[in-house]
Amino acid sequence: VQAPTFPRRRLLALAAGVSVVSLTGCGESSRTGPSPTPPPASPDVALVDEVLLDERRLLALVDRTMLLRPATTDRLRLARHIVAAHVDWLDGIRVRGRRVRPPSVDVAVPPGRGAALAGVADACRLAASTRRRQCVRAGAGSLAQMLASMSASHAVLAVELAGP
Amino acid sequence: VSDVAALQSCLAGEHAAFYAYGVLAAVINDRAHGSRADLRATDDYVAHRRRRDALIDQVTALGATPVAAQPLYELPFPVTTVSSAARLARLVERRLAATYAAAVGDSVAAVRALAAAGLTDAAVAAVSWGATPTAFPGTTGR
Repeated sequence: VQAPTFPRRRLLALAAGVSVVSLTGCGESSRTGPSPTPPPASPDVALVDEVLLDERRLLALVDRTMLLRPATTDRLRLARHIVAAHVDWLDGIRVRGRRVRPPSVDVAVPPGRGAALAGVADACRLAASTRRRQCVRAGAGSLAQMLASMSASHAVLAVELAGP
Repeated sequence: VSDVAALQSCLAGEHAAFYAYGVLAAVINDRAHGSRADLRATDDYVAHRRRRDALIDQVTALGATPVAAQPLYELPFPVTTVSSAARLARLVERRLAATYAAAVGDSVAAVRALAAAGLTDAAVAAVSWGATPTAFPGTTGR
């Protein structure tokens, strides 16, 4: 999967008018130390957090399904690759130091290959509609474009995984 | 870029897509009448006509004059077989996905939602014609 050639870290910085900070410091400046009251998030930064958490949940679901139902691996490999690319991209445009904590996913994976695949297909369908709504909410056109693109890729995965 | 300009650009894309589907659907119908590809081409032809007409209505409702179709579109390669027709369909849908993605970035609210729906439809259609799913349809390979 080819990631888009995009000014990744600059995207939200330009859109939200905030400065780009290193992710490695987790929000702490070496000169100032941890900030007791982080600045309020711009709507787009909060939106990226929300999307990132959701994509990580989906990735965790795909991983768990592949782990518990190895027969689904062949069908889910592409989905995993695509959702991981979404997570990587979102990680790349995070502009504040605070990392979004990877979710602990406690989902039941249904027994049987078909039901497990259908479960992931349903999750992709839900992600497609959620991303579509989020794209309309986004302030920056560039972020909206990428959210719409993610929505489209989830819709494709839902169709692909629902098939025979 | 205004909502009207974003819609006009999508409309221009749909005019081209409608033309291309007219060509490719005729070739597939001739070479593989009644096949799945034949049905698919007919369905997509109708879907693009419907979307084109909806865009014309939208542009008109915003008080603008809808862009007209070109009298003729140059095909990027000869379309004489089912395989080349499917290749053209993939190309058209990929380009449409890029057009709709750009329109998403250039618009707001209802027009943005419409463009996002167009992007999804184009991405799904491209894969149905044999394209490989990608993580960011519409944003690469424009």
